[in-house]
Amino acid sequence: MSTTEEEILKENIVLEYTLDAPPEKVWRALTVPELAASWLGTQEHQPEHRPEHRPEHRNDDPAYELLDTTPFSRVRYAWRDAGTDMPETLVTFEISPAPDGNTRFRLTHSVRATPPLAANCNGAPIARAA
Amino acid sequence: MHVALALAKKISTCLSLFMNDRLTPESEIFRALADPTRRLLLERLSASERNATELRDGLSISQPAISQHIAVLRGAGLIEEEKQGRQIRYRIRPEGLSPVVDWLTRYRAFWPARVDKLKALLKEMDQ
Repeated sequence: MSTTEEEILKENIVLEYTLDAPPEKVWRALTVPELAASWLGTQEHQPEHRPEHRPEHRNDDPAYELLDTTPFSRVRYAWRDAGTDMPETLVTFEISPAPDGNTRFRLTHSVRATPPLAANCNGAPIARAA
Repeated sequence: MHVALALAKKISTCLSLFMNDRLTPESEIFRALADPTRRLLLERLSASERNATELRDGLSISQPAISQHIAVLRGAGLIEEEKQGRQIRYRIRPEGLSPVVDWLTRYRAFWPARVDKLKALLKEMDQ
C-alpha cells in the first residue's frame, strides 16, 4: 500500500494559518451565526429558498450546525454536503493567541463520526481511541 | 449495424456503470470509515492482507464482532476477500477509497478559499 493510500485512510484535512486579528475577533467570526455564514457561505444565506423542502440539488454549498464551543479556544461544527448522500463530517476550529496580537488558527475537517449531541458539554473528551 | 453498435456500446456503458464502485453510496463508505475499529482493521489490511484471526490479533473484540466489521467494510467496497484453501484472506480495495479521495480533493480546495473569505471578513470587522 502506498503512502498516498495511508494518507487517504487518515482522511483528515488539517490546515493551519496565522490570522491578522486577535483571538476574540476570530472567535466572533466563528461563532456569531451571521458572521460565520458570511465566510462559510452556507445555505443560511438564502432562507427564502427553504432548503428543507428541496434538499437534493439546491446548490453545492454545504450546511453546518454548531456542535459545541470552548470559549476562545475551540468550535466544532457538524458539516453536511448538499446534493450528496454523505453523512455528517466534523469540522473543528481551534484558535490560540499568537505574537503581535494575531491568532493561530487550526482547521480540522474529519470524516470521523460526529460526537452525539448528548455529549455536547464543554470539556467533553476530545480524543477517541483510534 | 451502426445502431446495433451504438446500442451495444450503450449497454456496455450501463453494465460498467452498474459494476462501477461509485454506485456504492458514499454514505456507506463514510459510515464504514467512521468507526475506529474498522479504521484500525483497514490500517492493518493496508500493511498486508490477512485472515480474520490475524485481523483480530491483539484486539479485545469478539470474533462475531470482527465478522460484523468485516461485513460492513466489504459491503462498502473497501475490502475484498479471497479463498485460499480453507481460509479466507482479506485485502484492501484501493479503488473503494475513491469517494474519499474525491472528498479530500474537494475540501482541500474548499477550505483555503473559505479562509481567504474569513481573512477578508476580519478586515471588514475592523471598520
